[in-house]
This record gives sequence, C-alpha cells and structure tokens, in this order.
Amino acid sequence: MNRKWIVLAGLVVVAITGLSWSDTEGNTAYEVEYKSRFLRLREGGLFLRRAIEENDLTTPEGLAKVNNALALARTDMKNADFWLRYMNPLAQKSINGPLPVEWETEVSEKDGKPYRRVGAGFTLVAGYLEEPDFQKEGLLRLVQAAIDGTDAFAADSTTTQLSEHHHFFLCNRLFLLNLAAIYTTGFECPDTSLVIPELRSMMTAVRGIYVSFNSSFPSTPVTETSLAKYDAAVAFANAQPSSPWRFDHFTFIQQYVNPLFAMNQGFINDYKVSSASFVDHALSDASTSIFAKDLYYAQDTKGIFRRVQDVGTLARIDALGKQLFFDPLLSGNNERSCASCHLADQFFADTTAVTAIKFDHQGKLARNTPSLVNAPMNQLLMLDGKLTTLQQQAMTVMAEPSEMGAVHGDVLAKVMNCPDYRTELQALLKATPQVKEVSMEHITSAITFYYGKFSAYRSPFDEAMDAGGTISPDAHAGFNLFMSKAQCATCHFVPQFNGVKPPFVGSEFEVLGTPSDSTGTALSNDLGRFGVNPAPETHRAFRTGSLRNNQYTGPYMHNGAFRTLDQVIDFYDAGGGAGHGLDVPNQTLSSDSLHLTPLEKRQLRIFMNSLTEAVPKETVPATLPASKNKALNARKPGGLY
Amino acid sequence: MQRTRTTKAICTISVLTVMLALQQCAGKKEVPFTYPKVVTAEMRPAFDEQFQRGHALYEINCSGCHTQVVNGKKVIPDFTRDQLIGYMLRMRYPSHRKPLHETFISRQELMDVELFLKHRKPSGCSMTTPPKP
Repeated sequence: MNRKWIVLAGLVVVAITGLSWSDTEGNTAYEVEYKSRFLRLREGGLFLRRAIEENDLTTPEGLAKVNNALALARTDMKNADFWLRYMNPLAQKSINGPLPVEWETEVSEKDGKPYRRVGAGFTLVAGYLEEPDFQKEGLLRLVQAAIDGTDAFAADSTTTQLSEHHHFFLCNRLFLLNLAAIYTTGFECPDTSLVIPELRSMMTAVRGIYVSFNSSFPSTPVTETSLAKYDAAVAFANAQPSSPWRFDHFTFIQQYVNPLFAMNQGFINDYKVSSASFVDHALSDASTSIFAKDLYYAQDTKGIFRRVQDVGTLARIDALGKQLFFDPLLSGNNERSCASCHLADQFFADTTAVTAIKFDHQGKLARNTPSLVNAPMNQLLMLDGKLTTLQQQAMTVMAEPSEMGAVHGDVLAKVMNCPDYRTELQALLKATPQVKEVSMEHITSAITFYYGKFSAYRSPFDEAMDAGGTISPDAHAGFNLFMSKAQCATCHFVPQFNGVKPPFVGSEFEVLGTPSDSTGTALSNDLGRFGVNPAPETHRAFRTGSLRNNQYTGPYMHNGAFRTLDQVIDFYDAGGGAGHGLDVPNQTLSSDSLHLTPLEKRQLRIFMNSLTEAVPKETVPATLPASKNKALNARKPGGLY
Repeated sequence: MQRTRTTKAICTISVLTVMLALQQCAGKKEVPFTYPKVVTAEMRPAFDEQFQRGHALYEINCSGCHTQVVNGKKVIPDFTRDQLIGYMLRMRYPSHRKPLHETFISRQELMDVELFLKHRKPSGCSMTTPPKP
C-alpha cells in the first residue's frame, strides 16, 4: 500500500516536472519523453534505496519489499535502455553493469592497457541478493552508483544531442542489434521469468519513444512501414509464451528484428545521419542485414595495402599472399609454412591434432590451432587476446621459436632472393607510396589479405535469416535452446556467435574451468588472459571463439581437450569445471546443471551444424617461386610438418 | 626618391619572406622540422623515417581537404595540439568518420601523421574549416 502510494507520488512529480520543462524551456515532445524516462529511472533508484534502508532484510517480508522495488527499478531501466547504452555507455555500466569487475579494451585504444571497470546497478543488486551473506552497505553502494549514473544522462553534453535527429537512429540501431543479441537471452537478467515481461515492457516504451520522436522530427520520421513492422514485432512478443525457453527467438529475429534493422539502416543513409560516437566505430552504415559479414568491422585484412582499391592490384596481392601462405621459406628451417597448422582444406584449422607439434619436434604446443576463417571478426586476437592486428599475428607466429622459428630479417632476405617474389613485391611497392622499401609488412599483409577472403562466406542459417526461409525444425528448435535454456547466447552472441557483442567494439573473455583433457579430472594449467593482463578476474580466462564452422574445426576448447561437440555440450550441461567439482572460484559460467535432455542436446548440435559456411576448399599450390639459392628449391609447398 | 627605394626594398623583402615561408610549408618537398627533446641522436634515423612516412600519409589521407592554396602555392596549415589528439581525430568530427576509418588509415599511421604535423616547422597558415566532402 505504502509502496504504491510512493510510486504514485513519484509519477505525479515526474509528470509535473515533465510538463514544466515543456512549458518553461520550450522542450520538444521528444525531449520531454527522454527527461521523464530518466526522471522515472532516478525515482526508481531512490525508491529502491529507501526500501533497502527501511526494511529488515533478514525477514521474508522485508526481502519481498526490496525485490518488488527492484523489479520496478529494473522496468524503469529497461524502458530507458534505448538511450542508456548509446548516449553514455560508461554511465550505463553503473546502472546495469553485468559484472562486478570487467576488464575492457576498446577498439579505439586496442594497443593500450585494458581498463578495469567496476560495474554497479540493478542487475548486480539482483545477483547480490541471491548470495547468502549479502550486506546492506554493499546493496546501497550498487544502488547509489545507479542513481549517480542516471544523473550523467542529464549532462548538457548528452542532452544537446536530443535537438537533432542523428543520435536517435543510432540509438535505434543499437537497440535493434540488442533485440537480436541480448534482450531475449537473459544476458542481464538473473531471473529468467522476467526476461520476456521486461522485453515486452521495453518494446512498448520504445513505441512511445518513436511516436514522440516523429512528432518532434516530422521531416526525418520513422516511416509508417517501419512503425507497422514494429507494431507487429510487439504483437508477436506479446503473443509468445512468457517463458524465454518457449519463446520463438528464430522467428522473432528473422521476421521482425532483422527487417527493422534493414529499415533503420535505410533511415541512417536517407537522413544523412552522422555519428561522433565511439559506439558507432565498428558498425557499417551500408550493411542491410544483421547476418551480413559487413555488419561490423574488426580487423583490416589488407594491412599495409589498405588503401588499394584497384581490383587487378588486389588480385595480385591475393595471389602473392597464397604463395607466401604455403611457403616454408617463412620458417627458420624452411620446413614449416602457415599451412602446416592452418590446413587449407579444413577451414584453416587442424582437426588432426589436439595441439600442433613444436618447431623442434620436441613435444606439443599448449593451444589448439584456431580456424583462420572469421578470425577477422574479432577485435582482439589469439586465445588470450594478446595481439590486436592480423599482421602482428602473422609476424609473431613466424618469430615464435616453438612455432615457425624464424628471424624476420632472414625471412625478408630469403623471400627477396626469389626473383618472382622480388619482382612482384617491387611492383606492389607502388601501391604503398607511404614507404620506400619492401618490408615484412608487405609479406604479412599479403598473407592476411589472402586468407581473409575465406571469411566472406555464409551459412544456411544466415541465408534462412535473410531470405525469410526456413531451417529444419530441429535446427530451429536448437537455435531457440541456444538463445535460452542452454545459455549459449549470453557469451556466443548473435550474429557471429563469438564474444563480440553489439556495438562490436570489444572481445569478451570467459572462465569456464576447462580441464586439461577429456577425462575432466584436472584443470588446464594454461592461465590464458592472465598472462597478458594479470588480475583475479582474468585467471584462466580465454577469448570466446566463434561457433561458425564448428562441425569441422574440432578438437575444441583452447587446448583441444574435447574431441567431439557432444563432449563440449556435456561439459557445459554439467556446469563447466566447477560443475565437475574442479576448483574454479572465478568461473563466469554457472556451475549449475542446464538439465538438457538428450533430444535438446541433439537439436543444439543440429543448429550448430547449420552454421557451417560455404567456404571453398583450398588446394596447396603445386610449385613455389624458385630461389637463387638452389638448396631451397626442394622445399615442399605447405611445409613438411 | 629615397622613400621609393626604401619602399621597394621593403616590398622585395616582404615578397621574398612570404615566398620563403610558403616554400617551407609547401606540399611534397622536404618539410623542415625540429627534433623533440626526447629524441636522442640514436633515435633520429627512426624519427626521420616516421616523419617522412607521416608526411606521405598526410599527403594521401589529409591534404585533399586540408592543404590550402595560397597565391598558387600549396600550404599545409598549422593544426593546434588540441586538434591532434590521436583517436579523437577519428570520432570527434563526423566528416572524418569515413576518410579516417581504419580501412583507410591504421592507428599506427594516424600516429605517424600526428608526429609529422606536431614537429614540422609551423607554416604560419592557420587551419580553416575544410569543405565538406
């Protein structure tokens, strides 16, 4: 009773304040909508704070009051989410930070040290309330940070954007991408039963935002067609079951979210929307589908040749790159090439070995060979995120004593000692007027440009998403499981099913408690990200890989511990390392069982198989350019081992 | 008579000075610069190389909009330090979003251009807003 009264009073205050802004300051309907949503969010935070302060949380009644206040605050938060994530992503982390501590590396400063970001807000409050020994002080700190975070959205630097149409369509783009990637998966919603109700509330709120925007910006409206599609999406979400486990994620994205995304991209182009925000850094304005490979940009495959547009020149770089990729001259003993581990007929992975043999034949490498297909879709590279560019990666693997064991100066000299290579590289120097001489960068860039093209292909799943067609009922059911009960999509994000989530400016890491082998009796002793950025949270953390082409890129996990996809699914189903009784205090995966049935596991696998892309099989070249050093002309294309 | 000669001399000197100034900041030619204090003698060759690369990259990526033509001569304008904050260059100005995207110029290359623009001798021509592409 008391609570309702306070909420009502709060709403009245909001309404009056909103009105007074409109009257006294000449705010547009859209600005009033914005400010009232944030005022309401602030009120929600204050109300929750009071509930925590005034109630005895050791009693079920007190706890229930706090949980009610939390649910209201979460709804207010979801109803402002349209702006939250775009207008001030940092402040958003204090209102709805998914983790207590996150280490982030943003795309614009990839080369710098990762930032430590402390999360706060309502999702963490919900998680904290679940813990047996939670303290009021801790809860209040999380709530206060959210209240303070809300105030950041009243800053002039943010609200001045509201007077132009630009930010609106960019907010909307992020909103639509998140409708596909996180809003239906429980990514930031610990209580599964709230996922779909919160989604519905948010979608209805966004309808109101569209209407207020259209009334304030009649020359750049959300069109009738788009509004009608959006209404159909809301109707679909309302008609679907309230359990995310039974929600039809596939149809929702295919029939509604993806077409709305395409329409919004049209608005961005038609209304000449321009961005000055880091949020848009990776996103393409040209892409017309969430499942298109040009949706976002993460890696430059062209390297030093990045400004070359001429088709003929690019074809020459590609051909040169292919020869270099298979040429063991790039190794210290002239016996190993890139293709030694990245097998050209196996999606540039290696299904034949758990981990590859070392350069000196003495033992095995610590990590499994990852596929090069879709490597360009990652912001950070290597399983520990150590490197930031593909060219760096190529350079590093050549010089690594346990991998290709070469010295860069020697490689360049050996390559230039082959007349065909020399002629071609000298000719291509014209394409890089910023430098005067051929360098290793020309070599690595040709290689990355060559293999980069294999990432352009699509899977049956992508085609079905775009064309409005169907996938098999099992794959369809498998995708819906992937997005809900099996909890896969909270780390392997739509659309690339890797650790890059909208707006695609970072790569995420997870701690799974991967064992040293499939027996699962001991933890892998690889510390992963910790080796690059030591912190309690990064201990044994690895970059989330893409699930595309997973059917043909086993063995799986950083160390190839699992030979089959069934083993992998069983590992997750039982709660990862911690679920198997291993000591993983910082595991980011729930240690509870997922309770997947044999049929559900089968459907998951069938869906994952639908992510196999139509990548053409590459063949090893029959010959390589001759060297003036005759002894090197016996070298085997692709390498000996 | 005396006055005319003085005027003539002043005129000639002014013209020469302006020409000299213009030549110093002209397009493709060697651009004079000063080494920053932190650059030791051993570091100079690497600095020279990065400076030249930065110059070449400026000509490729920036000059189209920013180089001005004064009396028929190309002049690289002086940017303020505030205008040259690394990654801010990409995002602060919407018109930069496409031409300075990573597909056209890498982070390292942007740093090369920054180094070039910061350490070249000022041309004395201030930066005016470039035309919209």
